[in-house]
Amino acid sequence: MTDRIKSLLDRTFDKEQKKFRRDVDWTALLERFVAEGASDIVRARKGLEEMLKAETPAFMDGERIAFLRTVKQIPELHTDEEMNARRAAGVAFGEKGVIFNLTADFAPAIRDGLGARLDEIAARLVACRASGDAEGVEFLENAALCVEAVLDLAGRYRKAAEEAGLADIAATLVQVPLNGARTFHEALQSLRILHYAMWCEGEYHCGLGRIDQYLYPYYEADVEAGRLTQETALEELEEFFIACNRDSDLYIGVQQGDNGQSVMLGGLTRDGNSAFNELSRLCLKACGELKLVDPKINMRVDKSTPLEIYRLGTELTKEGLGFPQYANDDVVIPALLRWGYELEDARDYSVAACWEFLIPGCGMDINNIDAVSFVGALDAALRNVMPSSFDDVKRAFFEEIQRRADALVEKYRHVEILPGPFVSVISTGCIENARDLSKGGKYNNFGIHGTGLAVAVDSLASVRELVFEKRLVTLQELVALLDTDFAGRPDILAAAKAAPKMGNADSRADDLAKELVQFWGHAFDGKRNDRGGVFRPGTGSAMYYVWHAREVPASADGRLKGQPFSANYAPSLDVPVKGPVSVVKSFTEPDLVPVANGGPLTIEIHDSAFLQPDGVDKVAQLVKYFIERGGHQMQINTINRLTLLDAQAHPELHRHLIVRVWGWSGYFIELDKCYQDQIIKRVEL
Amino acid sequence: MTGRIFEIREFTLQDGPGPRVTVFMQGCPLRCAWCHNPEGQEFAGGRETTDSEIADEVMRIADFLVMSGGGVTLSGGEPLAQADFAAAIIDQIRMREPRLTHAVETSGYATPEDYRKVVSRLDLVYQDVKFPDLEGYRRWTGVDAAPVFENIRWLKASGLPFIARVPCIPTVNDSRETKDAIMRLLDGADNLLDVEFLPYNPMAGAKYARLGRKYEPRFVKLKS
Repeated sequence: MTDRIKSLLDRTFDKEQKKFRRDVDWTALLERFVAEGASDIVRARKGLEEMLKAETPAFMDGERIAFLRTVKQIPELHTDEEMNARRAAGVAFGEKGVIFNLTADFAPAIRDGLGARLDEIAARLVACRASGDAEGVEFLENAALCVEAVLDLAGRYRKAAEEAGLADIAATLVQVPLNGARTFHEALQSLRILHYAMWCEGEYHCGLGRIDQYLYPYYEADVEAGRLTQETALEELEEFFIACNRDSDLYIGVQQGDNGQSVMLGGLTRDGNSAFNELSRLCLKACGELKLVDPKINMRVDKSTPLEIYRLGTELTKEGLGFPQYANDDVVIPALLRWGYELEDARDYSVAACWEFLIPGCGMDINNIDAVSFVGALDAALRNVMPSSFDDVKRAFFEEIQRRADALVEKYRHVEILPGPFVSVISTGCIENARDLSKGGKYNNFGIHGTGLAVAVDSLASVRELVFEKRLVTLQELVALLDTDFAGRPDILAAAKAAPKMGNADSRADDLAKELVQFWGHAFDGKRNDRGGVFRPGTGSAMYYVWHAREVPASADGRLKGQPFSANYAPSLDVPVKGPVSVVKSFTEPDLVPVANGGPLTIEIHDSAFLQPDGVDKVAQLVKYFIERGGHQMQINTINRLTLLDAQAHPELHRHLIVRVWGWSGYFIELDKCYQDQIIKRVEL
Repeated sequence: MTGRIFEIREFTLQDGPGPRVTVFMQGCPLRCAWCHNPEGQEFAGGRETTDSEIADEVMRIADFLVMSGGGVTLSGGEPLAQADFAAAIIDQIRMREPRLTHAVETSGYATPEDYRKVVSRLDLVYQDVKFPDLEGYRRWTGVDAAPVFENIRWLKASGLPFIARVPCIPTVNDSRETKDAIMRLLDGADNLLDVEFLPYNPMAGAKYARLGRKYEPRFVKLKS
């Protein structure tokens, strides 16, 4: 790491950037919108214009890639009353209603420059006016103004850079983002601006996508021309990665760190060749040197990936970064094909933000629109069934899941998304179709999480053993015990805890998991939303592992009321598992293609695993084993329980401590206590 | 065949080549003052099992162990205190999956017959060398270590690959002179792959309380 990068890194970590920030009260703007009865798209455009106008060019000493958020708040575009009235009128929204959880199509915008987009918009406007397409005209006019607003700020940055004697930055901004990038450096600056502008427009969980692919042509050309070496490219990347950590505390998320700035490395090219390249390596190296939470690295691998690439990834795991997260092309690509994605698009997948798979630029998928609580479904089923056999219990459980799945299909049949005219400009096909991305992309599928899978499987296994095999209690007695946290029956609680558990490579639990995953994977077959999209079930939990756990009493596996579920696809908390190999084995028993919306196996490894140099090799082998057995997605936390406890007691001593939360890495001390406690409870293998 | 163990741990990373399954065998004739597995000392403790059951456990994940070049390590306790059982475990696993490697971690305190019976079946031996002389063993482990030195002599000449492990206990055996003497003892063995000086584990004391025992490491007092 060069001294310049080290200095930028330290000052960014110490939040020097905060000194440039100010508060802006946007109430008057919102009141004006309401008074004028402004349309959604006009609000989106004016919001971006006003936001960017309020921004002041600012530079941190020593930086060469500019753009910094100086206004803390982005404008609210709708009042709560307005949104609630629309909901009351039967409109469903995903989360806040705006476009979110999305990786834009940065490549063409970087390549052609925004000027080219303005030309296209102008040409389409002529056609739309001629054909009387009023909606098209409105979209294109507003989109053009959004682009102008971004270019205006870039122009002010250029002028400010000139005045501050920052000739480098000024020269770069002469070229981008108006024109296409000619160098690796210009491409990074352009990317920084495009990504920054998305957040200013109100989009959130904005991923960065396959940067090792779309930046590679610039890297290659620069290296060829002698303008760039591996060392200078690394420095450029490091500066860009540091920049991803400047404004991130202003980004919207459930917790600090939950900002969706994901990068996807490796995998296949659109024509099916191996995509892992020199730039992929440099990205991994940059992250290993910086040890920051952003960007969050994902790696695409498959059964032919050599151990060496896993080793590179594991070097980051060793640093305790909680990433890379691995995605298996052998599972994900067939899954995307099954859901109707075209082959070339499927090969081009990235993650939207956490782990839900998305095709950058052409997906208007809402990958996490809602979740089904498996534990809630089982609890309801146990209360409503008079079973004569365990099969009756299973059937009732699956019927309840189906009922809940159907209810979600109904709930989200018609979803409205608030427009994002700027992000539409950097997405495929919007200008051509003269429609905002929010009206629909090439793909409009909805992802549904399934939470508490392991708890539900363990509970089923326990019901089978306690009620039907050992006949220790009747089902009614067991249900009554769930409502009282097993009061007065420590024997039944002990038996429940001793029943088979998922994660021990024990077929008595794993076979039930197979059935559940199989059922869940097909629960939405044939169902479509009114955009023509399908529903993609997954094994993710997002934050629902905390929320859903609060909705249910104790469960039949011996989990008491109030105890959280495991996050995503992982053994239940407090379950004594034999070790990570058994966990991998159990969790790769089900066929994961039908449930590949996203949702990784999450395992914790004690930091002593890396005491000896060959620890990296051995952990890499475990990941490879997971992929070869058909696992879909995996993330690894390297933690030490004692360190986490100490960090709770003395946060000031652990400012750099990073943990993987549900689909992202964050600083441990910045998490709410319930998320901290859940991580401490996770099984240390 | 039956024997006693106190734990089978999978994915152990510091017990030999590749990721391993480590079988902790119950009972140890030594009473090292710093022992970090005190639950493994009493011969009557742990649980009874069979070589076949242990092999079943290992076979559950044998595909991973083969793929990653790992295997099985017998630790303890003192695995050679149940030499016939140890040999049976190795034979049973090797019969079912010949591609796994086998190792033991031993103090070397065993009859030469038992020692050779097990060690000659192995791919790698972790041989503890706690002291260069009988006096250290007598004082800190409570045994007459003559067999240990005889077995080390045999091991050096056997050609079997081994790694020497020296637990470095503050004020007990961590002086320059003691370490030099240990190195001299090991000198001249082509089959010695490495000498690992293991740092003292200060967390060991926590386990004693759980066993209802008092942790009285005399050497810690000496230090203060």
